[in-house]
Amino acid sequence: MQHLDDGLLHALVDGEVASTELAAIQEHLDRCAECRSRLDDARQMASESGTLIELIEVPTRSPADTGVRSRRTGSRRSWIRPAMLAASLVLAVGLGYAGGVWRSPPAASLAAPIIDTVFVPAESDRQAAERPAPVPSRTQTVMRQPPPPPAEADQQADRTRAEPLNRAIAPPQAQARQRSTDSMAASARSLGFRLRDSTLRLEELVVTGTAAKPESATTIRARSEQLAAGRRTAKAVEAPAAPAPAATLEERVVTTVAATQPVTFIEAVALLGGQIRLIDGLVPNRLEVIGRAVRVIYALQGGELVLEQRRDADSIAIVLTAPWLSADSLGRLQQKIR
Amino acid sequence: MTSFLADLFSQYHSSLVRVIYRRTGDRDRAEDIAQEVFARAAVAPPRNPRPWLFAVALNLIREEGRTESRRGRLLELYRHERPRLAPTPDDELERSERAAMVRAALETLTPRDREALLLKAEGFNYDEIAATLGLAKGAIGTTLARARKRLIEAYRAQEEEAKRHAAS
Repeated sequence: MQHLDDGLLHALVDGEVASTELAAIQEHLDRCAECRSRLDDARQMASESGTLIELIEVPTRSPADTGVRSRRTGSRRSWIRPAMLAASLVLAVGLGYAGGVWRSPPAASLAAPIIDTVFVPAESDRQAAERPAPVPSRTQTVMRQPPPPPAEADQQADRTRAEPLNRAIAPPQAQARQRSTDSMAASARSLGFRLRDSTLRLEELVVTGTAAKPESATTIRARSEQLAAGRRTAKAVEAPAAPAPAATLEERVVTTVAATQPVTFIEAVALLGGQIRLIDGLVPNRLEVIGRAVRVIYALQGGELVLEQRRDADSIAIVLTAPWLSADSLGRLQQKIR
Repeated sequence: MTSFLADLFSQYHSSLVRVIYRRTGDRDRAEDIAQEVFARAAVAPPRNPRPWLFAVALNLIREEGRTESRRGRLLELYRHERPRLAPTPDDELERSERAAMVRAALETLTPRDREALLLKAEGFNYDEIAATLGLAKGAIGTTLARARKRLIEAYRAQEEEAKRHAAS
């Protein structure tokens, strides 16, 4: 007896068999217990696979999403995926440091999208305010909260809250910050990479992020502290008497070929020729450079995940490493590299 | 937006995003690709929209995959035991873990089989699946039979492994 093949049984279950063929099929099923059993199996499989697939739902955006999606014309995706505001924020803090003057927000504003509450220039620093802004005014448009005139109590409170974020920026000396910013811009320019460009990219990042939970602010701040603590340019700020600007990026890279060195976001992007790859949905813990390669390091529950990238002649070589992860998990993370 | 495009959009956009998301696991990318698809439909309105929209979307996904591998990405893999799943999760966590397992199980299918399954889940009939994927209608039943069997096997294997980890 010729049994019904699997394709036909599934077509039967899906209602795709023409009525003209049904009579013969029914006659066979009446005689063949095995095919009846296989038809039941097919029905069960169709139902179960449908249920499984329905488990995969498109994640909805939270109500606090900005709703503004910045797109580059002519390309399908931005070179940096603005998937998580937290990631944007950590990177943006790097730029913010170069911009010189930041303070942490009043606690009440933590409920608002994080980007609003962090990018506020320290109004109390009058010297910095009077000085021509080192970062082009375009960054000013990114900040959503206009700096409020600080009452004395607010200033005090702000200084206290600003402490963790600004520790590496340390003594609030406008001159030192200006030097640091100038040296950063000089480094960037020496590599043919204008600070303005990185600011533009930052704006793409900041306007397309999603809101993070308030408790993430602490995590983000802690991570930004780690980033800030590792920066070499922090030393230039903490030694205000030093007249010379920090070594250019090229100088630092040449002298640190054999060892990893912490690096700022701007430096990393410049080193990679204007692009940096990140993993969608994960927040970088820190950035390092070794030789001419940039390492984006993620601290996950099981260990560290290292996304190393190096610019070659006409491409970027990328290596994703996490010895503690399975090949499947690593493969899935690889899919998320943007 | 023309009326035709507006109708097309309201009818198919969320379904398109859903299929692309299930295929890629990336919501932003799904929306980007869907937008690209509708942009192309605006320029050259298709006569048979549904299979056209989904075929273009699936092709775009494939094209992007090829471009990325041309850039010479390197990947170092180390074999190690799977990371533990969270113990006694609440309903939402359990659901998202199960969804992750389904996505992983889908990855074990060939692209064709996976696409056929996703289109079927979206309510496509065999004619539409055949037109979208460029297959003969007679082959769809067999394709789905194979895909369903494989998905369920792969999912159950993951469930077993998850239970073993939870127990240990």
